[in-house]
Amino acid sequence: MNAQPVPRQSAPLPIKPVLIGGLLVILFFLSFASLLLDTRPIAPIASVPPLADERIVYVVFGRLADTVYSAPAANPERRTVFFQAPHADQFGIVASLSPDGRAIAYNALPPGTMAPSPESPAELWLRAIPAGEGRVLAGAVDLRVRPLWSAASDAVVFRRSTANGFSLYLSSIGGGIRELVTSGDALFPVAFSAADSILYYVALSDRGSDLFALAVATAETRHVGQLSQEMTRDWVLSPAGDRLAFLSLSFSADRVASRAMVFDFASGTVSPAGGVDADEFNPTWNGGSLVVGRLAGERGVVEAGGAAPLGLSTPTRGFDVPQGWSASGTSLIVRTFEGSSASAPGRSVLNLLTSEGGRIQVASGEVTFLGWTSP
Amino acid sequence: MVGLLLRTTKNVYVWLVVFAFGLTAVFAAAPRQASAECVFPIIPTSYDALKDRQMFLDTIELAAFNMLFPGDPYFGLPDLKFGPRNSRLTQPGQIPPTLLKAISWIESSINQTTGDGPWGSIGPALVSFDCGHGITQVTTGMTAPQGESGRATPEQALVATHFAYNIARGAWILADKWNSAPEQRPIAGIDTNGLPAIMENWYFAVWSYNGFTGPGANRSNHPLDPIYGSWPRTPYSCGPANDGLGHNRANYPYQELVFGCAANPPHVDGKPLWTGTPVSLPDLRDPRWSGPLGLANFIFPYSRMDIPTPQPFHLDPTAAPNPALRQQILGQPRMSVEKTSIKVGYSPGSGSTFEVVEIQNSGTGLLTWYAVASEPWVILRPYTGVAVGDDLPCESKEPGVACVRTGKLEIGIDASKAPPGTRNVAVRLQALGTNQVIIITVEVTQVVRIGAPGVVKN
Repeated sequence: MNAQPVPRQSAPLPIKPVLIGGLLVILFFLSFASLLLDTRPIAPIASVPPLADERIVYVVFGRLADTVYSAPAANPERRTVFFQAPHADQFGIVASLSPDGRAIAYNALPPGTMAPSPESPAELWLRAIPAGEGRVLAGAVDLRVRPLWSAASDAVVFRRSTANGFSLYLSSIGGGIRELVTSGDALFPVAFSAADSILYYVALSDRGSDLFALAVATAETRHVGQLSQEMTRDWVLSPAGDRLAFLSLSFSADRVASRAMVFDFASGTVSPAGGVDADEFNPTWNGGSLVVGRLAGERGVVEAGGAAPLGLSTPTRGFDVPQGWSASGTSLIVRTFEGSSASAPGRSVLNLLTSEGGRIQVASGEVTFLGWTSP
Repeated sequence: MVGLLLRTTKNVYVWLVVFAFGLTAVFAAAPRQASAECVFPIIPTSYDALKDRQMFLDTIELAAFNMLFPGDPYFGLPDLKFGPRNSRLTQPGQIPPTLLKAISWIESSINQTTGDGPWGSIGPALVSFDCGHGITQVTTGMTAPQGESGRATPEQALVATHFAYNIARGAWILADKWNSAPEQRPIAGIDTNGLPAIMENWYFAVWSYNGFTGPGANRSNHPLDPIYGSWPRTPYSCGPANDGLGHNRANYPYQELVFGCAANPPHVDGKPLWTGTPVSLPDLRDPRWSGPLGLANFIFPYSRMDIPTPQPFHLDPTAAPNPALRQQILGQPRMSVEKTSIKVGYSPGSGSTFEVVEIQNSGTGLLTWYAVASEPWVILRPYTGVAVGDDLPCESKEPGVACVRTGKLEIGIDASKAPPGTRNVAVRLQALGTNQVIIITVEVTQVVRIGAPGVVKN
């Protein structure tokens, strides 16, 4: 509400400054009043955490137990242990970090499993981080199909194999399991829509890779489109939910390459992420931009889908495979292989690349990146 | 007075029998129950050698060179096929020993038992959830008893209990997978005549050993299947955890586990179990290998999946073992028992006493015993197991306590099915792989309680 000063009969007033000053006073009093009347806690203003506050969460394989670590991005050496996850001899956990960064869901073969194999029935565990007791959400799950979190971090999708084929289930972290879909084709959960109303999954068969959408409330499914007549992998939904990036094999007369492709939901078409003839790995979204690891000849770099350079450090030998961007979008975790090709990648380490061109080793050995968290 | 004394004595006898039932129920070592739907309802005993696995590794070499049971249709290696798809020839069966060692390690860490006891001891045979048995995790033919009256055959008993027969059977299965080409499997090595001496040419046979399943199967071993979490992936190693290679078995298709293990062997007490031998995997960047592995080609009988030999190729440098090793390992078992007649009592509605017959091997090597009763209502648990000769290492579970070399056969009666009265039945005890047979006579007595307390009718 603006207050109009009463004009004086005498000398003319400076209207503009008076109006602005009055407005400011009124706004101040209104704010004060709202504080008195509104008892809801004041939400912190959303902000991008500085790199110094961001933490990297990863798993280190151990023969009988894996260790989940959290390391500050600014100083990865100062890592802390979240928890250890015991498992069957030489079969590590398959884990995923919740979107809110407060829990980890993982599949594990129970310790002591006799003659364990990948087909042995696994358990789906839930563990709050940084400190929380683990509990089993479901049994008889497929070990190697990574649990998929809902966007709200309140449910997890897992897969079971049965005599009839494969089934995807939804487990609420509060309890309760619901079967979503069963098929003779191999099913791989891919992503939830932002509102968790749709679950996207891929069905793999001898016809190729097909993308489906399942309405979570009703479990009705619809075929969205065929991604490829071959096997695909590493599917990742764009933050806007309008595109799906993935890897597919590309065959030519003299070579075969893994290529990053993008499925556009609006047009239903699949197109290469970039026009570069190279092996591409692990497409990763940074906002609306797609980033891939690219290996052409001896040169391995992380580039934007359209082959635009990002200014990130390149390894002195080998190649980088992107794993995940920090919330600030300025730092990227990569797996750096020392070898020269996908067929002979050699040993690998986990590195942090900064937008200033820095390269910091996070961890070596058999390490799996899970995600970023911030306090 | 005497009558009272006699009646009291009979009462005491009855209560002793009842007490014996109870004691038997409480103190009899509960046999380990088997996984559902496998051969044995009660897992038999087997024997594990020392931690260095040397005896088992020697046995694997014998099996690989078909020197264990040559000519045996179940345990000897068949001739192996080679040559072009439409013009196959055969040659005497031989498997690269390093591949068989790697398979054995991947399957069981080269263990024949569950490892409940110390190295060099008798223990429950290793049986997995899908009925894989022993060192080579033989599953084929081990999911259900194939003998008479729902019992395992002697061959099945040997596979479960005796390491040499288990290894031989595993080798046979691998050779059988090899021979499945070209009618049911593709050929690896179309440019090298598919020669079995080339380790890389075993690519599809090794894949088949774990199941020739393709994209989309839960057991898929297709190298491009998205079920394998990361791409690319560091080569697999059975070696030390700090060798910089991969050790998480969930991340690799079976043939990559085996080839990786062949090249990077496990270490026991700081020593590699064998000399690492590199084995090349197909180069998936090259259409000559990737093309055949495409989805469209993964259709039975897989004739479009033939591939050239992955390069560079390798021959197994392991030399044929000394033939004398066979006799040293198999030994000459000699079966004996402490008693050839026993008594068992039973009461309908209450159960049966169980008598334990200890079976010794006064010879050498490992003896697999196999028991068959003359009546179906006689319980034998388990009905097969092992006894260890004096020449084999034997470690005790507890310090100061002699190790157990004997087998234990419990004999009882199914009280719900046994006819009334007293009778003699026979249990035929055979040492498998030999002609030795011992007959144990079992006097079966029914105990019946009638009317007034303390009065027992036999």
